[in-house]
Amino acid sequence: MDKHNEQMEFDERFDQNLIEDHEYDNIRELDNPAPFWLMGLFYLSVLFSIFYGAYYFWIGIGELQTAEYKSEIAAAEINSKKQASSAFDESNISLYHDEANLAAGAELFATKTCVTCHGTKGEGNAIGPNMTDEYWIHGNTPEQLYQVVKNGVPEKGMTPFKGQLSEKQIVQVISFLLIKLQGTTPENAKAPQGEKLGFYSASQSEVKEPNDSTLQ
Amino acid sequence: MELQKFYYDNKIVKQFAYATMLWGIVGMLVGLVIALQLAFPIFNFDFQYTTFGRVRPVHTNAIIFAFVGNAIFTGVYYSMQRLLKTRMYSDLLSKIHFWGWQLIIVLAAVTLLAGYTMSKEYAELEWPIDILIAIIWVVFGINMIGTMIVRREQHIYVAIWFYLASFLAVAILHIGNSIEIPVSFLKSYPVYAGVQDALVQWWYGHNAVAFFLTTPFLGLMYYFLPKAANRPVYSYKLSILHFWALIFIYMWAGPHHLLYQALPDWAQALGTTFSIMLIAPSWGGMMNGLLTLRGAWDKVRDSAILKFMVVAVTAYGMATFEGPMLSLKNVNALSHFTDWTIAHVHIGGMGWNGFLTFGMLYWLLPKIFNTKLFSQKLANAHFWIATLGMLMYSVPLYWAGFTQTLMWKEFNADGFLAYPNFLSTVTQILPMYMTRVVGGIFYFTGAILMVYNLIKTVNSGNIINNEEVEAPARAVLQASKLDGESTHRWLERKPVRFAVLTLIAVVIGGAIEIIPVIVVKSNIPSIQSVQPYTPLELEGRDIYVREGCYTCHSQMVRPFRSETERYGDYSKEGEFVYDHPFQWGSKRTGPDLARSGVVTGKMYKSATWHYNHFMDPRSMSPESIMPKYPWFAKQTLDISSLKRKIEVMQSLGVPYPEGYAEKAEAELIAQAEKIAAELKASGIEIAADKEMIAVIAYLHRLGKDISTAEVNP
Repeated sequence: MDKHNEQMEFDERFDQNLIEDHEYDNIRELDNPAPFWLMGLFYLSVLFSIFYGAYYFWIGIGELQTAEYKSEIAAAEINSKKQASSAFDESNISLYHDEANLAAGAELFATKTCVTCHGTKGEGNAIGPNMTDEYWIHGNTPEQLYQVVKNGVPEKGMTPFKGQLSEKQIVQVISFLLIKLQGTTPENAKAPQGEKLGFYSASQSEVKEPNDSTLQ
Repeated sequence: MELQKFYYDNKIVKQFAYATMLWGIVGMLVGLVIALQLAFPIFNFDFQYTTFGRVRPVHTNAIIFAFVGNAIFTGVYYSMQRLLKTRMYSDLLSKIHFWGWQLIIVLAAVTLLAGYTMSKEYAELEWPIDILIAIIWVVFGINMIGTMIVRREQHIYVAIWFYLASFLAVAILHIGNSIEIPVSFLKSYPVYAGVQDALVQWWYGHNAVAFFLTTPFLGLMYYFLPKAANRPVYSYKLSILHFWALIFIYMWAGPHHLLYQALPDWAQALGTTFSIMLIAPSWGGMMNGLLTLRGAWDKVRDSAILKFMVVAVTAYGMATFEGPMLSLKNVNALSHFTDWTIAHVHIGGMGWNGFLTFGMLYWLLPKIFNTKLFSQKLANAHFWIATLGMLMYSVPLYWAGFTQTLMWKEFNADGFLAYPNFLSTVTQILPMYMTRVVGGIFYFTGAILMVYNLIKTVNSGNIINNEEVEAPARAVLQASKLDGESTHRWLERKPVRFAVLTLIAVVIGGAIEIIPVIVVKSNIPSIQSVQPYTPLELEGRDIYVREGCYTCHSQMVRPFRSETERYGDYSKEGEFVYDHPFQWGSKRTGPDLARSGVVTGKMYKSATWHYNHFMDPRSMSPESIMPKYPWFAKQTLDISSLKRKIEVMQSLGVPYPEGYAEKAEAELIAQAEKIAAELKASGIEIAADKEMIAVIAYLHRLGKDISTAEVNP
């Protein structure tokens, strides 16, 4: 015999509207309506969908994703134009000599992935050249270094940093490189690459004073 | 009326229940391993077959198809016989179904670890297994529909509606998404490319959640919840309303997985709106469950079974509210590609599927073994430890998701990304990854307690393999509607008609979205400069697929300033027309790679860098959590099926010139030698025929074609 034919319990508070003839393996069903708030929610969600379609397509107030992107970029450009220093001259760069800016350069060198390819002490590794010796692949003037950091040398693996570092930050990094890092003798230094151009000499830039105002 | 004597088949229920427990433990254990891998890369074991990219699909497949799948069959085989007052239609089909499904699971685990994968999420399995799945699924369907036809009960109950819809929809989804052309015994290319492949895949992926993880479980809820609570179902009307609304609307919502991606705006809008319209139908299921407990809440305090069920239904309600919220564009812009999604699916998986399965097993096994549960106390302990585990798992991941997305999007005052180094956003959330492991251990421990408790229970009883019952035969009623019979009531005694209507309801949504994207050219504006992959790049791409790189790296730059600043130009529909399969990914544990081949771009790395990074990612970035791939430098690239690959691609419309298959090998070797020479110039000695060379060639191709391109509308 079916052992499960015990009847479901009857609770007179809730079970007045059992549906007759709806009984499956003793499971009964009640004739309650769907909760009104749930039905309301459903109709609201349908309304939302119609509004959504109208907003983006039929009336077309909403920006679709490409337009939205263009607006976002335009807004960012206005913002950056406000901040950009139009006076900055890439062909005539003054290095920093003060400790605060040199320390900022060292910090950037350590945190902006320079160390991944040039070593934690600038000694170079399988990817990038030694930054402490007198040999240079792409020149050693501040202007040449500025271009290398800004635009990179992608085919050799040097990342362009123009999207990551401001003009001032790039100058901080190259100041650190030329003034602090050059001439140190770290362990495991990589063999020289490029031309022997010598160490950067401070006299090169002594004629012009670092001009902070153009960089801030 | 004369009673007929017959027997319920409990043996098949027992078998599926045991399989559920076994695969549940396995699937959760594998989940723990990959959680550990993300927190501590050493758990990749420096072994090709245990890297995250290969193990992660084993976890998802094991949980969805092995654990939850067997749980569905356990509940369906138990409840359907009783709801229809008959034994299953065919014992042989039941047996084939059981053993066939277990075989598929074993094959899946072995082939996925061995690197045979389609790379389409939750549809990774290669074509021979796809065919086997289709056959076994149809066996299940015939057995189900056969049982409905030989039933003694006049009407089919709401649980059966859900089972039926699940069977039909999963059959369509599985077959539709798995249309692929074999290249060799365990390698094939999907017929769809790029945008189409993505749309079909997420039509499948989303509705696998719907019709494998949701509707069968609603069916189980409609049987086991009223049984366990001993209370009548709250509202028959609500059952009807939410059933039809749910199965119809669900199928439209797939594109919400592709918001802000290279998918036509109209398809995205359908994904969003239909997701919002899903809230009420989903909550209809939750409310019918919770309101059924009216008058039984005092029992919830004492019964671990009811506690599991209440939390399961509540988790269902939370997940089905959160899902639609994540489908809003502005929320999705934040959540997508982060651990927020992982947290969301674990509320559903651990809470809804896991807890309902646990409750069902605690209720059902003592019944078929004619005994009592060994220990209520242990079951209660399981409940609390699992609840705690679920919270400790999901809360840190929500936190990780919020944290990382905010870091990705933050700009500093100078207008630069505040965290341009992707890795720093990963390092930031590692503590959350560690906490998540602890949550997983809790949840797993609970499952172990359950298995012990149920083994003890089973040992204390005796299985009733064939349970004797008596019921009258089904009265033959007129085919047309009876006087005063509602249409739906009439339909409930006409299961074939019911099935046809169900089929129509589930087909519409997918058809309206997918057909235009395949047929109407303007949906994917072509880009002249986009060319097919070279043979070497194609082979490299197949290695990328084999290793499951897509489990951590997307190839989809969304049109946000924070992404174009970080990765390069945003992705366009026309870029992916030769991508069989698409590799957009759904999670960024590592950075996006869509532009890794743009030499002047932000993501470009030299061949030397890639070589060193694959050999040991930590030599390049000490905090990286990526597995090592040193075997790329040792293993020789297998080009034995290159000719066939080119031919298959040609048959799919990839415009390689005629006779190219013959020339492909020579071109491959020439390109490989160039890269090997480039590496040699940097002091790296590697033969040109190694896998490493092909992978680098592929990464150096990605996103390159468009860098000088014009988009033609």
